[in-house]
Amino acid sequence: VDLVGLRKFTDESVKAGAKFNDLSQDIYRACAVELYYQKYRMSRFTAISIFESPDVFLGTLPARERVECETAKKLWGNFAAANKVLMSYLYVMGQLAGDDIANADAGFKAAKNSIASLPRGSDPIIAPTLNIANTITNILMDAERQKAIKKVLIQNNGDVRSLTAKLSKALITYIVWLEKEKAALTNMYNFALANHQSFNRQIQVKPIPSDALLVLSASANLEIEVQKINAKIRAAKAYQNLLTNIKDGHRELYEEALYGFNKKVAVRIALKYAPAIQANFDDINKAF
Amino acid sequence: MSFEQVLQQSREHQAAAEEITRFHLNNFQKLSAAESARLDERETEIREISRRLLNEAAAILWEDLQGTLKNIREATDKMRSVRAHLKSVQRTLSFAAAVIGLGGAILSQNPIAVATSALGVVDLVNTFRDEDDEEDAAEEDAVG
Repeated sequence: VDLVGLRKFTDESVKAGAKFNDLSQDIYRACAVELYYQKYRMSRFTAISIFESPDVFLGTLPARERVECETAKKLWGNFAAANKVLMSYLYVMGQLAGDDIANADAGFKAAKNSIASLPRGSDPIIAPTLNIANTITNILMDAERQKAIKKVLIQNNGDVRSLTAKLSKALITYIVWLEKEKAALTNMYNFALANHQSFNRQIQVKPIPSDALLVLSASANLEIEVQKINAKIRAAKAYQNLLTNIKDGHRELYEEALYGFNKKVAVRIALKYAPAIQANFDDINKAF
Repeated sequence: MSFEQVLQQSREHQAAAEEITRFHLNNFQKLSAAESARLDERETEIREISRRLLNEAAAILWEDLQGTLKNIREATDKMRSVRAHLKSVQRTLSFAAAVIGLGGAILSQNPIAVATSALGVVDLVNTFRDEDDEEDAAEEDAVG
C-alpha cells in the first residue's frame, strides 16, 4: 500500500478549496448591491444608473456610506488568505505523500546503466549491491516522509480544527450578507409595486387597475433573482460541509497517526472522505 | 463580545429594519412624504449598524485566527523542507549517475561520448531547475 492514496483526499480538498476566492469576492458585490437596491427604492425610483460594478456604484457614494463594503472586502481578502494557508498545508501534505519524490529507483537505474557503460564492463558485484542500496534508500525515504506526515498530523490537528471552524463561521456572515441582499431586492420590488399603485391613484385612474400582468412580470423577475441568491447560499453551505469533511478527515488521520499510522488505514480514511468532498465541489460549482 | 453575540446583534438590527419596511409598506397610502422620508432615514441608520456589526463579527474571527495560521504555515514549511530533502536525495543519485556516465565516457576516450555525457549532466541540472519552477507554479495554480 502506498501513501499516494492520501492525495485523493488532499487533491479533492484543494480543488474545491480554490472556490473560496469566488465566494469571498462576492461579498463586496452583495454589500454594494444591497445598498444599490436600498438607494434605488428610497429615491422613489428616480433615474439612477444601472448597477455596473461594485466599484463604479460605490464610487458614487460618500465615504461614510461605502465604508462597510470596503471593510468587508478587506476582511474577506484576509479570510481568502487564511483559506489559502489551509489549502497550501493540504497541498504540500499531498505532495509529500506522493510517490514521485520518495523513490530512488530512477537514480539507481541510471547509476546501473552508467556503470554498465564503463569501458571494462559492469562488475558482477555492482548490480546486486546497487539493488540492495536502492531498496534500503527507498525504505528510508518512505519512512522519512511517513514520519513527517505523522508528526504534522499529530501536531496540527488542533489548528486545522480551529481554522476550519473559524472559516465556517466566517461563511455564516457571507450568508447573512446574501440574506440582506435578498431582503433589499424583495423590498425594492414591493415598493415599486406600491409606488405604481400610488401613481395610479394620483392620476385618478378609475377603477384603479389591478395590474395583474405587471405583478406577474415583477414576481417572475424577482423569483429569478432570488433563486440566484439562494444558489449562492447553498454554495456557502456546501463550502461549510467541505470544511467539516476536511476537519473530520484530518481528525481520523490524526487518530490513526496516534496509534502508529498504518498506511493501509490512512489511505482508506482518505478515500472515504474524497467522494463527499467531490460532491461539495459540485454543489459549490452550481453557483460559482 | 463574542462572534456569536455580535452576529446576533447584527441579525437583530436587520430584523428591526425589516419591521420598519413592513410597516412602511403596509401604510404606504396613509403616510405623508415627510413621514415616509423619516422612516427611510431610520431604516437606513439601522441597516448601517447591522452592516457594521456584521463586519465587527468577522473581525473578531480574524483576530482569533492569527496563532492558528502561524502554526499551520510553520507545519507547511516543515513538510516542504522534508520534501526538499527527499528530493535532494533523489537528485543526488541521478546526478551521481550522470557523472559516472561522464567518467565512463572520458575513460573510453571517445570525444563524442564525452560531449554527449557532459551535455547530459548540464541537461539534468537544467531539468532540476525547471522542475522547481513548475512545482511552484503548480502549487500557485492549485491553491489559488
